[in-house]
Amino acid sequence: MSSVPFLYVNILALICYAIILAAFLAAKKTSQIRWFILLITDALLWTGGAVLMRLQIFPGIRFWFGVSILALFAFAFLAYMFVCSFARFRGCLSKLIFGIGSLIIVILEAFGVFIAPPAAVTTPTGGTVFTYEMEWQIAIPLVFFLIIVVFIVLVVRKLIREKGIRTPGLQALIFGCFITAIGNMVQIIPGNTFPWDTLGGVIMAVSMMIALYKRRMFRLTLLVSKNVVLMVSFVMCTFASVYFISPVKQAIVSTGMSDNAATSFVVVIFFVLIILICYMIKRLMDSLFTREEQQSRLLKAFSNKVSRTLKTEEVFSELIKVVTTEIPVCNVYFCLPEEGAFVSRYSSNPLKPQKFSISAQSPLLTYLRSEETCFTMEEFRHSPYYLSLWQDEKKIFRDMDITCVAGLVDDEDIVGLLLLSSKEHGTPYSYSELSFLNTVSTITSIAVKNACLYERVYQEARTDSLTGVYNYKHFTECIKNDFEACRGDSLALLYLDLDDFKLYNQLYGNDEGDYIMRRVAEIAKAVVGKNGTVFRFSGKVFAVLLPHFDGRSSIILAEEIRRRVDAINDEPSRHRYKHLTISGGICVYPYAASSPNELMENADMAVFNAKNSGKDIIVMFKGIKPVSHSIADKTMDILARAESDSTSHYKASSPTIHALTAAINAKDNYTGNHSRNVARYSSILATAAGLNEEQVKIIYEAALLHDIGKISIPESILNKPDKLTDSEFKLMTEHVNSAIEMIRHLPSMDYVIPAAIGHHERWDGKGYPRGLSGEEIPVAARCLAVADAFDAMTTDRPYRKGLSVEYAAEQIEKNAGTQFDPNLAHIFAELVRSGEITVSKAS
Amino acid sequence: MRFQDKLKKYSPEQIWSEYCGFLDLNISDYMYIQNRLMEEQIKLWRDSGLGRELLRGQYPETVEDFRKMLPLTRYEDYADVLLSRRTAMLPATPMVWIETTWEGGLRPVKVAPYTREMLDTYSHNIICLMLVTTAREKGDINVSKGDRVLYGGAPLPYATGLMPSLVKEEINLEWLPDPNEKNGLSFSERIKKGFTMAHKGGIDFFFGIGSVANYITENFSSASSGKSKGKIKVSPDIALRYLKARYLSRRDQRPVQPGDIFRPKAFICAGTDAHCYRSRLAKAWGTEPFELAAGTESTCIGTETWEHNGMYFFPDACFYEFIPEDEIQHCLENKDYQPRTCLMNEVRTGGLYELVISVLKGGAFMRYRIGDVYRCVSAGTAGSLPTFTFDDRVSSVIDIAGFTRLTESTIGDVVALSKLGINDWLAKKEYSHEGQPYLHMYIELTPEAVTGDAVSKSALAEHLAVYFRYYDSDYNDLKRLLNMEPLKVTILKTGAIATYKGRTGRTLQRINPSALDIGELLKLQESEPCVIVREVKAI
Repeated sequence: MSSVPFLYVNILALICYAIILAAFLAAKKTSQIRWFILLITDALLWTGGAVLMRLQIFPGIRFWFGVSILALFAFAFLAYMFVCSFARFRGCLSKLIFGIGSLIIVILEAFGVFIAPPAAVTTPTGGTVFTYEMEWQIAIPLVFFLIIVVFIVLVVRKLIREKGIRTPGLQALIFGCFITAIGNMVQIIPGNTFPWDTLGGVIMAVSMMIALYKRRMFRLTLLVSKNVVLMVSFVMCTFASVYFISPVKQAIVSTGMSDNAATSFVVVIFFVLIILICYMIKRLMDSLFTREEQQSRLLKAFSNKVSRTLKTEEVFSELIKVVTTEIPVCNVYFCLPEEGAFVSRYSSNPLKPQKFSISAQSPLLTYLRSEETCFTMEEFRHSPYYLSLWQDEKKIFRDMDITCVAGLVDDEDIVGLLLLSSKEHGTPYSYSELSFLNTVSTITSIAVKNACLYERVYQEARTDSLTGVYNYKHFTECIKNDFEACRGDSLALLYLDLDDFKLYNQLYGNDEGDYIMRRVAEIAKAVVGKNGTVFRFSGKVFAVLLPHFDGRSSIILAEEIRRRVDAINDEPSRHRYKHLTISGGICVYPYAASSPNELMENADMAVFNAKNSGKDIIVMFKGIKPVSHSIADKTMDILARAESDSTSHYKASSPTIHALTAAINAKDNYTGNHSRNVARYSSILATAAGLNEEQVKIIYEAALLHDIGKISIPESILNKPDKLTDSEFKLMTEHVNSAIEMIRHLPSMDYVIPAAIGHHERWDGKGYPRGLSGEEIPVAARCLAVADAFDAMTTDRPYRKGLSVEYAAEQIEKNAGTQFDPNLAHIFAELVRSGEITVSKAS
Repeated sequence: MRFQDKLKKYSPEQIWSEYCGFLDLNISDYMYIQNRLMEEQIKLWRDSGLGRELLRGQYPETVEDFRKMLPLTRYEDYADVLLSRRTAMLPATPMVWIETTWEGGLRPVKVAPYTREMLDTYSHNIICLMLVTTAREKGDINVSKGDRVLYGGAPLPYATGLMPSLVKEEINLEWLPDPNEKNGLSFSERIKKGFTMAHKGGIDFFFGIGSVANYITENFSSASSGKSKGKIKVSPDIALRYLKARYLSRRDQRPVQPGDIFRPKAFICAGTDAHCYRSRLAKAWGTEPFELAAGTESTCIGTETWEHNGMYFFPDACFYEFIPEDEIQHCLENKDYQPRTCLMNEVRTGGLYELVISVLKGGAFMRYRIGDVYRCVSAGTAGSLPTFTFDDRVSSVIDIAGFTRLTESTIGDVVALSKLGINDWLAKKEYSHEGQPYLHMYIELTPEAVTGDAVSKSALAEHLAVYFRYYDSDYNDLKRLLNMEPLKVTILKTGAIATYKGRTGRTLQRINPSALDIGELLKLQESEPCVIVREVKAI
C-alpha cells in the first residue's frame, strides 16, 4: 500500500482534530463536551500516531504504532460514551462492561496480542510501504467493537423513538456515525489505497460538533474565532500550494505548453483560486460569526443599561430595543404580574395599546414552568397543556398574533412574560434567536424583579393601606411639586371631610367605618380620574389636588363626589344606617392662596366653614377682602355679625367658650382678662393683616381659649412673684398641651387647635411646643403670639408693673423676624401707634 | 392546519404529543386541565339563560361552588329550552343540533346543541382515537391520508353521523361509502356496498356500534357476496386472500370470516353491549376491537389504547363526575336523593360508577346524568390516569344492543296497549348463552285471563312484541336492521309477586330487579300454594 495518500489525509485530519480540540478546551464543560473532548483527543492520538509512524519520527515506528493502535482500540468505547451522554442514556452496566472490556483489550494490545507493529518495506521507487501481519486473535477486538457499534445503534434508536428523528442534532449524529461505519467498511476492501476510515473520522467529528451546536450546548463564537478560521485557511492554502501546484503544472506541460507559460498559467490559476477561497471564507465567517458577535455586543450593552435602572418602563424600553434590533419581529408585548394575572403593560407598537391579560393559572405558564422558558407557540400547541387553554385566551393569542413566548423566570417565580408576534416575513424563529431571547429574558428577569420590588415598595410607602389612595406623606410631596408645576396657572386643593364619622364608627363599628372610607375613596378616584390625585389626608379627611383647575370646575367636581357619596345612602342594603354626608372645602391658587401652606390652611378654613354651615355642602374659600380704614370697628362688626347670625357656628359655640373663660377667670382672674385682651388685639391684627372674616372669627375664639390649659397649673406658680424655677417653667410650658387636651374634647371646636397650639412658637423656630418656624406656624397662631406678648408686657403682674404701650410696641417691632412674624409685628405696631389698638389694663 | 398536513410538516413525536400527549399526564395535571376548562364552562353557563334558570339565582365562582349549588340534572331539566331550540338561552351559539331518541316511543326525540369549539374538540379526539387504536406502541403513527373506512353508523343528524364530517375536515379518508352521502341506500344496502368497495383496496378502519358490527360480521358472507350489478373490482392481494379464505373455510367447515380477507388497522366499537360481542368480533376479524365512549349529549369522551386496558377519558371533552355504586342504589330507593359524586382522581379500582358529565366548550348539559355505568379497570398507579370500561345503562333503563331505551313507563304503556290480562310484571335485561342480550319479562296474569284468554308463553311473547315494535321505533329497528327478536317471556303464578312481598317484606323493582331476587321469587312460587289476587292492579 502506498503511504502517500495516507499521509496527506492523516495530516489533514490531524489539523482538523487539533483545531476542534483547541476550540473545545476553551468551552464550558458539560458531560457531553467532556466526552467529546476525550473522543477528539483519542482521534488525535490515533491519527497523530499513524502520521508520525509513517514519517518514522523518533522514537520510532513501534512507539507511534502503539500510540495509534491503542487510541484506535479505545475509540469505540469513547464514541459509545459520547452517544450515551448525548442521548442522556444511563446504561450503567453496558458502560461498565464496555469500559472494562476496552481496558483489557488495550492492555493486551500493549503486549502485542492482537496486532503486531508493521514492517516498513522500501519499494523500488524509493517509497515506504507498511505491511501488517494479523493473526486470528484480531477477531476478538473486532467482535467486541461490533457489539459496541450495535449498542450505539440501539441507543440512537431509543432516542429516535423517545424524541423523534427531528430532535435537534440527532440527524447530524446519525449521519456522523453512518459515515464512520461506511469509511471503516470501505477501508477493508482489498486494494484500497485511500484512508477512508480517517476521512470518516473527520466527518464524524464535525457532525458531532454540529449535533452539539444544534442542541445549544455551546456557542459557536466562544469556540471559533476569526483568527482560528484564518489559521485554518492559511494551513489549507499552504497545503494546497505545496501538494497541488507541481502536479497541475506537470499536467499542463504534458498538454504541450512551454514550461514558463505553464508556470505563469498555474500561478494565475492559483492566485485566482486563493482570492476566491479568501472571499468565500470571508462570506462564511460573516454569515457565521457576525451575527453572534452582534448578539454578544447587544447583550453586553443591554445588560449594562438594565442593571442601572429601577424603572420597569426603562427596562422594557431597552428590552424592546434589543429584541427588535436582533429579531425582525412585528410586535413585542411585555406582561407583568398583577392580581392573579399577567397584564400587558407595554407594547413595542404605540398604535397597538390593546390591554390584555393572561391568567396566572394559564397552561401557558404551567408549560413555561415545566418545559421551556422560551418556546414558540407551535411547540406549545403540541403539548397536552394546550388542551386546557380557554377560548378567550386562544383568541388573545390569535388576535395578537403571538408566535413566541419567553418567560422571565427568577428561581421558581415568573416575574414577567415577553410575547413576540410573528416575524416580518413570517419566517420561523431560529435556534439562534430563541437562544438570544433566552439570554435576554434571563438578564431582564433580574432587572425586572428589582424594578418591580422597588416600585412596589415605593408605591406602598406612598399608599394608604386601607383605601388604596395616596397617603399624607405623598400629599406633602405632591402639593409642593404640583404647586411648582402650576406656577402661572391654577391649582385647586379640595378637602373632603366625612361628617360625623366618629359617631358612625361608634354606631356601626370600625369595619363598617373602614368600608365607608374605601367606598368614598373609590368614588373620589373614579370622579377625579386623571384630572388630579386623591390622598387620604388624615383619619376621615381626603385631599384632592387638581392641577389647572379653577374655582368653578373644582366646585363641579367636588359636588359630583358629594352627590355620589350621598347616593350610597340610597342603596337598599344601607337603609338601616345613619345618613352619610360629606363636607368639602376648596381653595384655589393663585386666587385665594400664594403658597402651598396657605392653600392648605385656606382649604381647611373652607371645610370648617362647611361644617359650620350645616355640613353636606362644598364651600369655596373666597379670598381676602380689602381692609377698611377703621379696623377696630370692622373687627367688632365681624364679631358682632358672627354672634347675631343664627347659622353662625360662633353663636353655637359661644356659650362653651364663655363657660371656659369664666372657669379660667374663676381660678386666675388675670388669665381670664388676658384671654379677652388677646382675643381683641389678635382679631384686630387679623383684620388689619387682610385675613378674611372666617379667619378673624377663628382667631378670636382661639385667643379666648389659648390659655385655658392654665387651669391645670397650680395657683402658686401662676401668681408667683419671683422668677420661676426650671421645673416650674417646664410645668408652665405644659399649659399649651393641656389646652389642646381640653379643646379637642369640645365638640366642633378642634379648628382652633392650630392657633392655640402655636401661640408660643417663634418665627425663628426657637419656640415651643413644636419648634415650628416662619410660615410653618399657622397665621392665626402668629397673630396670637404678637397679641399675647403685647398684653403680657402692658398689664401689671405681681412681680412688676405693666410696661408702657410705646415700649411694648417697640419691643414687638424689635423682635420682628426673630420672635414674631415681621409683617404682622409691623402691622401690630402701626395699629398700636395709630390708636386702633387701645390698651385696657387687667384688673 | 389539517391533520394530513401536520403529518407532512411535523415529526411523529410532535403529532403524538399534540393529540395523545394527555395519556402521559399524571392525574394532577389531568385534573388541572379538567378544572380549568370547567371554570371556563361555568363562566359561560352561569351567565346564560339556561344556567340562570337551573341555578335559580345562585352564582358559582368555583368548581366546588358549582358542584354544591347545582343538583344533578336530567334531560327533563333542559327539554323546554332544547326541544324548542331557544339558542338565545344557551351559553354559546350552536353550530349543529344532534338528535337521538329520548325514551322509546314515549317522548319526542331529544336534541343536543354542539358549538364550533365542541366540534373542534370532537375532531381532535377522534384523531387521537385513530392514532391510539392503530399504534403498536407509544408514538407509533399509523394513520395516513387515503385510509379506507367501513363505517357502520347512522348518518346525520344522529351523533354517529358527525364523525365522518369532522374527520373530513382533518384528513381525506376513503369512506366505504360516506354515511352522510344522500344515495338513497338503506342501512344494509350501504353495508353491502361498503364491503363491495372494500374488495378494491381493503379496510383500514371499521367503526360501528357493537351490535351492528356483530350483525355485519355474522352476515359477512351474504354481504360480501351479495348480488351486485356488474363486475366486482377486486385488488390482486384481496383476491389472493379471498382464495385462501375459501380454502380455509372449506377445510375448517366454517363460513368465510372478514378477518380472512381484511386486515384493518383498527376495529372500533361503541355502544351498549359492545362487550358481549367483543370476543366474537375479535375471532371473526382477527383483531381485538377497541372500545369507544361517545354519546349524543356527551360527544366523544373516551377511547381504549393499543394496550387494551380500558378506556381513557379525554380531558377536554367533558368534566367527569362519578356516582359510586352505593349512591346509585340510594337513588333507586329514593328518587329525590341527591347522590354524592367523586371526581376522576377519587375513583377506586373495580368500582362501578354512573357517569355524570358537564359538557365543556359551551355545551348545554351540566352535571348531567347520561345514564351510563362504567367500571373502573384501574384507578391509576403512581399518579397515572384511570381507565374504565362500559358496564351497562343504569338499571332503570333497559337498553338492548344500544338501540332501545325501555323504561318502566314505556313497558307499562306497551302492556296496557296490548290489553292482555296481565296482573303484574317484571322486566330484566339478560344475556343468552351466546352472549346475546334480550329483554326478559316475568308476567303474572289475572285469574280471568288465565281461564279465558290465549295466554301461552309464545302467544304472549308475540303479542307483546307486536306492541313493542308499534310503540317504540328503536325496538322496531332491532328487528328491521339486526333481525333481532329480543323478547323472552316467563309466566309467573298469579299472585307470586304479591306473595314475595308478603313473605320478604321487600318490593321488587319492576325494571332490572337483581338476579338474586328473581331467583328467590321463582323458588318461592314453586314452594308456595297459588294465591289468587282479587284486586287487579292498575297498570
